[in-house]
Amino acid sequence: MRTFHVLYHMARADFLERVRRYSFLLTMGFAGLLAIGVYRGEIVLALGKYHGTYNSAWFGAFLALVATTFLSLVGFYIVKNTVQRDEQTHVGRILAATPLSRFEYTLGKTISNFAVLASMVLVLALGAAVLQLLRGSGSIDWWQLLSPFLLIALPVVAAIAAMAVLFETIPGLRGGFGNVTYFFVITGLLAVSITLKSADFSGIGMYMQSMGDVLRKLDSSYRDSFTLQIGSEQNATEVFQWDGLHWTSSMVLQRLLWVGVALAIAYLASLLFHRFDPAKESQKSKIKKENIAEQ
Amino acid sequence: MKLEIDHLGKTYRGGITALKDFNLELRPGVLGLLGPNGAGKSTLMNILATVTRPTQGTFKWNGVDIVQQPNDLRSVLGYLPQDFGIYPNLNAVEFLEYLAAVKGMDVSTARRRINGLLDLVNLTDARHRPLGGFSGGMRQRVGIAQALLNDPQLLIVDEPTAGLDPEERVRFRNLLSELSGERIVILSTHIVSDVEATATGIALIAKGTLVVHATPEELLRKVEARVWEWIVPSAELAAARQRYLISNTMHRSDGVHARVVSASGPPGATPLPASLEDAYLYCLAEPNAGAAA
Repeated sequence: MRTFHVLYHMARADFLERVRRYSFLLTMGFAGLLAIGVYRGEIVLALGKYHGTYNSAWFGAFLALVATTFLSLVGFYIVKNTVQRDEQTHVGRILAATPLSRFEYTLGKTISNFAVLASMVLVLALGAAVLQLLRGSGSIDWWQLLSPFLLIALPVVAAIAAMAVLFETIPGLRGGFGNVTYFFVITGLLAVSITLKSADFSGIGMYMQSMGDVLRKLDSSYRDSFTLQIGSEQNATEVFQWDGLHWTSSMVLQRLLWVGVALAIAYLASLLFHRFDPAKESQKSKIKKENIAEQ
Repeated sequence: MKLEIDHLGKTYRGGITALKDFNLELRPGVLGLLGPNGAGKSTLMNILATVTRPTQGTFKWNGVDIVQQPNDLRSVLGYLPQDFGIYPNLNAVEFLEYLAAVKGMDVSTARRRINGLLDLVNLTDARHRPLGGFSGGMRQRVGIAQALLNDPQLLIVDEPTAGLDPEERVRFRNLLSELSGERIVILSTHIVSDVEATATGIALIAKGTLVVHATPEELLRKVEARVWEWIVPSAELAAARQRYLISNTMHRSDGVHARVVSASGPPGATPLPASLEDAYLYCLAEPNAGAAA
């Protein structure tokens, strides 16, 4: 019970600190722009010459895939500064003088990162609902609209949130080298998602399979083409009816596995976390702290 | 209530020794930890606040070895680090609620305590303003409020008046005096006047070692009949500094009024009552003076 209380307040304080910044409004605005890009046909999800009927399932899947792809590439860089902030402000030293455990700290920071990224997912989920109202056919099927965000996008951002904390706790990965390393790790993971079903991090593999199955029945010439890109809808002129993923318990477990991975990463980060010991902090942080103190 | 520091030492990576063979025993009261910049005060504070571990020795809180069991102290510890920072977009209540939770306090106790502390540090009217808009003094008061959240038995404040204006400094000293009582307060500073008004004991530290641990009266006795006022022409001040330990100077129309700390006064000098600043400088300049305490 004490741990939940601590985690709640740690995540709340960190979340409020970040969402009250102008930079957060900018990132939320950018998430909104992505939804507008989908509305205007500037971001395209196509399977060869086909796109799906504009129903809740299609918009839900489309926007959730935009969320996972965008946040996989950019989300890490948005949230990766929370441990550094505690170092530079010396709030970390106050925390170090309390009974707070290492794992409570890294998990609390992971939850805070998750909350920030989940806010952006929420914007895109709302965007999907608006798109369905403006361009969709039929009434909104809330489960088909929101389940992709819940089961595809949120586990992805949980893993990204934990990775951001992990990279901050490894001295060699806190700076520019870590940023480059993450880029290669995440692009590798996204690539594997498409080819290896058991490591489908982004959920793209699930959608390729489900939509492909429908299309293959409709058009025998269809050859597993699946593109999510910034471009024009002009090439995807044909429409096919896709009514969404039929979630089985094994599929749900497969997605929840990534939440487990996030917890494991947060735990690994706690083992590497220096707990604001000045003898172990990076030289760069010390220099920045001195600069802050002089201001 | 007792804090025992036993042969404590800290050597950083690269072989820099910040603290060596430091021994001290403390009971309730305010200890002023005085020393020049780089003397090892912050290292000692960080060790006592359980932020970093010593490389030699240990320290005990009521008989419990804190190097081995830091959580035994953390639950009764209040710590205000040097250069205390804040989350600029939180208000004082949100920030204190956060730290109260981390210190293991339940919601109702925390709220009651936060209200009382904001009142104590005179921030009730500013409680819902973002901390980013606070002055240095107001931030420092938030800092002392967070350190007191759990009504600590051991309160450690590291250079708390750095960056404060004179009025805020006086207010802070008064606050610290009010807080002493049935707790141990360690006030680390290089500003002698900060401890003059509040400390019941003084420890002088230089080059990582304890020079002297004494009461203010004992320290003052060391320089009794050793402080002089000597008027010298300004042109001769540099030469005077070579010969004597000068703790203060003031320019007047008849020359520079130098405050000299010396066993025998310069020719024509008149005796002055000693201050803690004189004693501080005397002990730092005369290593054997501390040993004689």
